Amino acid sequence: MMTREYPDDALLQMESMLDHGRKRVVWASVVASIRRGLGLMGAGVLVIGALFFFLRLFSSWFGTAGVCVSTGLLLIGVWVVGVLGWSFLRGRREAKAADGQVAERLDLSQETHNRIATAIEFLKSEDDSAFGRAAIVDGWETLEKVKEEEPEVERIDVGWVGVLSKGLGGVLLLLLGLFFVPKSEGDLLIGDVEVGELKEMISDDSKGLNKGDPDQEKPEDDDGDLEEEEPGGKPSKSGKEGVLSEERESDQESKGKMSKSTETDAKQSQSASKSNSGASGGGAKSKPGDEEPKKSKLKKKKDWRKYTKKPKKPKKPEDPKEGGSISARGASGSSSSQTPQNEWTSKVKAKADDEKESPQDEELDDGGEQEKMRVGAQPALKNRSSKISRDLSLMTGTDKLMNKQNRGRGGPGGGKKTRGTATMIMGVPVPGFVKGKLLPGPTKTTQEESKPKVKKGDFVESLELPTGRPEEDAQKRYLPTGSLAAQAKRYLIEYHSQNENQRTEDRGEE
Amino acid sequence: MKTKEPKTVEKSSAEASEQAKHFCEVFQKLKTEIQKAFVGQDEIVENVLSVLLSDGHVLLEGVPGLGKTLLAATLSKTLNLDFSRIQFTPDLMPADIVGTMVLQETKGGGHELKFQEGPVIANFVLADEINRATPKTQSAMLEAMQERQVSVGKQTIKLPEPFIVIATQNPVEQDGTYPLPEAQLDRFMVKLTVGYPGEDDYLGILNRTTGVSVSDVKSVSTGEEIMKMRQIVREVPVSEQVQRYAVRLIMATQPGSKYASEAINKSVALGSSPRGLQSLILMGKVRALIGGRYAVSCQDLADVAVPVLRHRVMLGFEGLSSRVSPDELIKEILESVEKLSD
Repeated sequence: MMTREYPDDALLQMESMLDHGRKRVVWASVVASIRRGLGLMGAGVLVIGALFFFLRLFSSWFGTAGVCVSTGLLLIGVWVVGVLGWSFLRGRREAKAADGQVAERLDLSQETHNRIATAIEFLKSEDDSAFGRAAIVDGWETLEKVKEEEPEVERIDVGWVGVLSKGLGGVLLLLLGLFFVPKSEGDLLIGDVEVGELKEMISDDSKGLNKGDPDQEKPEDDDGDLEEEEPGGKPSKSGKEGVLSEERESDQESKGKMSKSTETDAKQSQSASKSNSGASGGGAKSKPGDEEPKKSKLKKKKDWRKYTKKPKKPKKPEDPKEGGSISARGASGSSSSQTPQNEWTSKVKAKADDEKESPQDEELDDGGEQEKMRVGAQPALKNRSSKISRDLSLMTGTDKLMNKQNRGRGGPGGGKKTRGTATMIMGVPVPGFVKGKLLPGPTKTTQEESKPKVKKGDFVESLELPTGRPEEDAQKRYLPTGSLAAQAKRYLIEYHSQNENQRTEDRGEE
Repeated sequence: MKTKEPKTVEKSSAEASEQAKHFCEVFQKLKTEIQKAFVGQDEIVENVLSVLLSDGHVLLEGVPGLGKTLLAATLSKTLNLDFSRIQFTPDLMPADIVGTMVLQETKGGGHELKFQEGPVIANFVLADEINRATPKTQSAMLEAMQERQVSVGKQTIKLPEPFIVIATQNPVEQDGTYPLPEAQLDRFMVKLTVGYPGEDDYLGILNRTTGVSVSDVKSVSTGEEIMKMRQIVREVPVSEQVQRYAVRLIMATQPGSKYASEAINKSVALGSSPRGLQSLILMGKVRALIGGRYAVSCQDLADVAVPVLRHRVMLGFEGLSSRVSPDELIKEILESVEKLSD
């Protein structure tokens, strides 16, 4: 085995040389995590504060139940604790990871080309190659030079200005929503009411409960009550409510604006909740001189009650009064006294019920469309085409054409369609081939071996001429024979005799 | 089958140190000698030498007249090896490259078929304008590059070692060309873009080429030495941290992977293959040795990432229409991929 150029505990020594950097890296990772958390915290506080403010504003405009300050504070508290906890856990995880990255971070910061991290890794894996050992030695020497330097750490810029401004902004919005946004009548700020006043209200309400208030049971009676707001109306009902409002006024004057608003709201809510069950006002505190303001308050109170009553259950669609029509319901007079929310829910429910049951609607005559929409489109049976013939017997082309219901089944046909441009021209018969020309394809030539055969018939017999000298043969060939020879002889004798007489005469003349 | 034990077991770190030192010296000598004839373009020369020592092939892209042929010819002179140039044209056939069987007369009066070697059978092959040849001819060339042998009929001829192909492409004239498909481009270890020389380099070119004096390039190494240097490159170790970094770089080029950025997902149709990872590591090893180190670092990989990956990143329609450059995408990847291990 080759002797190594570094000690056996080289790994431990290198790890100890990295201790300084390790502390720095671990601390930096924890700080980075906390800084990251602070950044989130500020943003969260701002969001919660804004949410609180706008919800309060919304509730004051529309008179719905808003958010109490305790909820807002609770959310902020939960957020802060949650973020801190998350930061802590993340910081721990990152610190653990950073602990193993000390060498790499030192290489990065000092630009040592991964020498230190590579040397430590090769020591751990016991790389026995020549270049591996050389790399370990190289890494050791490099670490000795840079062990006091600071490794590369993650720097998170918190942006303190941003965080503080967001946090303060959130708190400011929270306070604005708490103190400057007018409370809605439906704001249930029970916690803001003093205990003593609460007891008085409870005792007053309990008296009202014993007597009973017929007004609170029938919502339709509210209309009647509204009509009673004129001066000189029935004092029995209005008196009780007027007393309550009088209480509110007196309390407001005594306790100051801020507390006034909260207490009056509390009292209003209390009186509202109790009025449904039959609240009655304290008769002892009523003053006769305050009928008109009482009535105006009464009106206000009645309006408020209208919106705080429990929504009525919508009537079933089987009810002949309601039916499937929305307008029908309005005629019954119950909708006017209902809250807008009740009317809407009842409308929606009635419509849904209509769709489920699909009754015949007297008002709508849509020719069955509604039925289709409810049940689903059904195929019109009368339009259905006849069943496809599954007859597989052979049919000719004509039969095929005539048989309209044949969908291509029935085996091979006789006539085939012709295709091509010419077939598009009506009345032009286009044959499948042109006569006289060879069909496309390779031509094949075959050779037959056949001997000529003699055919019997009236033919001129051929002469068999003997072979010999050509001159003689020719002479002999052309010599006349038989009657022709005698005739030729006579002619030649006459000719010569005539010619001889002529020559004698010529000689004689000479 | 008996396996050979690696010789490195017997080496000490001092020997490894000596080998690395010798490697650097030869490398510098080669570079200096080449630059006697090929002026400027230091990065191109370094990358070509790195590819030669990594047993790969080079794809050079540049307009005509920048000295691509000169570079290949000078490199072969410095190593005293065979050089051949193939000018690719659309009518070039595979037999024109690899060789063919020709009928020759024998002394006895008969005839025999003899293999006529093609120009590809050389140490340095300059395939000029490879994108002008037909796909059939290109594939014959690329098959020779991959297999390191040519087959003609029943004869199989092994190509000499070291063997390197320097293919060139003209980026301007794309009419009538057959662009190399992705599978073929992947066979090139690097793609180098040869640009115009600098102002001072122009003066150097003038002095060396238009005067009386002729640059005398000498042979400073041999083919055997190159083979030994290739073996040394293979011995350089890579730590796990660096390997993971290389893998992250490759995965970052592949759209849809967890390391791919939005720009990659949007612009890239096809990322690098595992062959790209191999090329990256081999080039990184040469880089480490040149830098006097015994192991590869993340910075070595970052230095060679652009030439190794630029031709392996295929842009999609959106990338092409936006005129996104693969070099920019790779630089973005280098900035975004974390060098630290998890």
